[in-house]
Amino acid sequence: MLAKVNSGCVVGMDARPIDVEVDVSNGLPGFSVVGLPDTSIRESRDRIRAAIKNSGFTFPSGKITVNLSPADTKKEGAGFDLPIAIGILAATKIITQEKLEGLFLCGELSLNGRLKSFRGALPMAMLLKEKYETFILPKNNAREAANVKEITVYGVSSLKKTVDHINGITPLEAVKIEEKSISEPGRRKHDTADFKDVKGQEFVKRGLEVAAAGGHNVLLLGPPGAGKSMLAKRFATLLPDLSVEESLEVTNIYSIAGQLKSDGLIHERPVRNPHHTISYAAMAGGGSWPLPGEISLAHNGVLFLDEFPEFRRDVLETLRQPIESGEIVIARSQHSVKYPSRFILIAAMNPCPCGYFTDPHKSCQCTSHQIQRYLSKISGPLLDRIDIHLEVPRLNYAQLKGRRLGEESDIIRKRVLETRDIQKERFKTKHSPLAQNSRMTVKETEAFCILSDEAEELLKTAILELGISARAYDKILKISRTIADMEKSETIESYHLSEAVGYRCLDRNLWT
Amino acid sequence: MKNKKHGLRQHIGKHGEAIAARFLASRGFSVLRKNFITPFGEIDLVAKQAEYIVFVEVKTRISERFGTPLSAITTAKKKHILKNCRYYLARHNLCEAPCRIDVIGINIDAEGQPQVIKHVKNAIETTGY
Repeated sequence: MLAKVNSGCVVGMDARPIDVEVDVSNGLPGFSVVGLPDTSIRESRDRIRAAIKNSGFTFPSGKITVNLSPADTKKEGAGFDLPIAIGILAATKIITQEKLEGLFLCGELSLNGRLKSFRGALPMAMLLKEKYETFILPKNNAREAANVKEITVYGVSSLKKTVDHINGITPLEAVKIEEKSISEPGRRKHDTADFKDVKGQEFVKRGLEVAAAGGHNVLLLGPPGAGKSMLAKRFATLLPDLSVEESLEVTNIYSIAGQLKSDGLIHERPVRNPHHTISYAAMAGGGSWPLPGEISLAHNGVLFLDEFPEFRRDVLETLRQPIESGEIVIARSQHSVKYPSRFILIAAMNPCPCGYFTDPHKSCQCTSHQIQRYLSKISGPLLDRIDIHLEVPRLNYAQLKGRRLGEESDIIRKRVLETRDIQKERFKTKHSPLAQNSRMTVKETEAFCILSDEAEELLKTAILELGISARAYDKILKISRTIADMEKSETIESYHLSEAVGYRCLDRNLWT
Repeated sequence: MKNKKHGLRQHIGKHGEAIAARFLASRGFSVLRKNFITPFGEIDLVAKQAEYIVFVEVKTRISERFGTPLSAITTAKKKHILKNCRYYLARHNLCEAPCRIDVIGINIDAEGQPQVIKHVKNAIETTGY
């Protein structure tokens, strides 16, 4: 008696269809799972046995062989519990094989026959929608998968209910997501934090607006208590809402990481704020079956690294490649996975170990050697990838006491949106989330960064006088392009350029 | 002393197997073989119930000082039993027959009367992953 059930597993961002074949035959009783299962699948034997018995069915005595095909790829996850259990019941004629055609099953069983959620329901539904029409998933995953409109999703709570549904004894109602939840911009999580809370710091705010508009990475430098963290935390409120496309990408990653809190799509831009003691694997993604790390969880959002030089060197260096390419490839001996990691990096640091080097009022206690060592923790190549360096000065009494509130985030965001639209128009041919000035290739920089004569002259002087490197030159062009876009100017004027040069304070060798 | 105990143990074992055979017969099993000898050891009882060939391992204890009769079936013992059963099936050309392995645990008192008989059906399975 042979049965076949359709299921699948997620490897990296890919979902693979897996056929679960179950054979129940005579011979010495035994239960074996073949087809390169990992430990969690092998252990499913005991869960399935108990779940079938506790759901009121008889567990067949005989030789049970389960094959997960294709046999040559490794499989992982507890999601195979449900398909194997249904396969055993089909092989013992409790369910007929015909009813399993076009049906996709996935879910983890508990000993009492209840179904538990598993990781990666959304990517599975998205990638396997062409192959199968009907998905039967644990109740907690059903809404997540129902975001894919092309398929019918049923959410089940137990093995017994699944069997009754398949046999048509008590058919369930398909899970439907109201149309609005996919198109409606989500409520803003950051509602409480607003840019207007930050007093003064107009220069820094302007810099962050430029960063938000062009998707540039930012380094905030300043003494303790100047408001670096406060500014960085409010940065996300300047960014436009996630597009549907971006929202699906983000939800996919969170689904794979098992960190999806609500059952719908994620609408807010993710803001990740890992502590500086974070390990390499947690930052980049890791494990023998690599899960997404912080940089992927920050995809399409903001990665805020406070106390930047305190992070471990190897952790910081892993950021280099993802910043450049917008994705990370995690290789293991058996397979490698690729996760997207396109984020805006906001790094905050003090100018020296004691923090007061640039403070006009409090004197710095550090020796020049100490400062040098502190700054050298951030490698040149990494610094090169950060477009905008902003000094956050400490506020004086008058500024602190001032009644004047800053501009509201909503107003700034409107301007950011306009600038982004200009960029979208410019990079029409590109995948839309990539349409940002900060992601210009060398060719595009040449084509789009047209300087006025005056600006050309200024740049020449800047390079000669300030000792600006070739890479910094490229960054300056990109930033000035964004600034020009903010003022809807076709060519880059000298004042755009000089503002851009102002955002490169670390190039100006302040600290030597 | 050791020799004497050895004799006693065997005696208890034999006595338990006889009790088990009667017990199975009363439950509608037909006992095919007692103490089937294989190159690896022996199978206590081979019975038949409906279409099933049932191999039975009998464990008898006079006290629970060292655990219950059923707890005496260890992983090593299971492996041994499986080996014996495979031999039986191969020998009689029954590899595709429906079969199972049961365990019967018996507690007897000082007079040799059974106090508790526990019959666990399908107690031992082949492993493999």
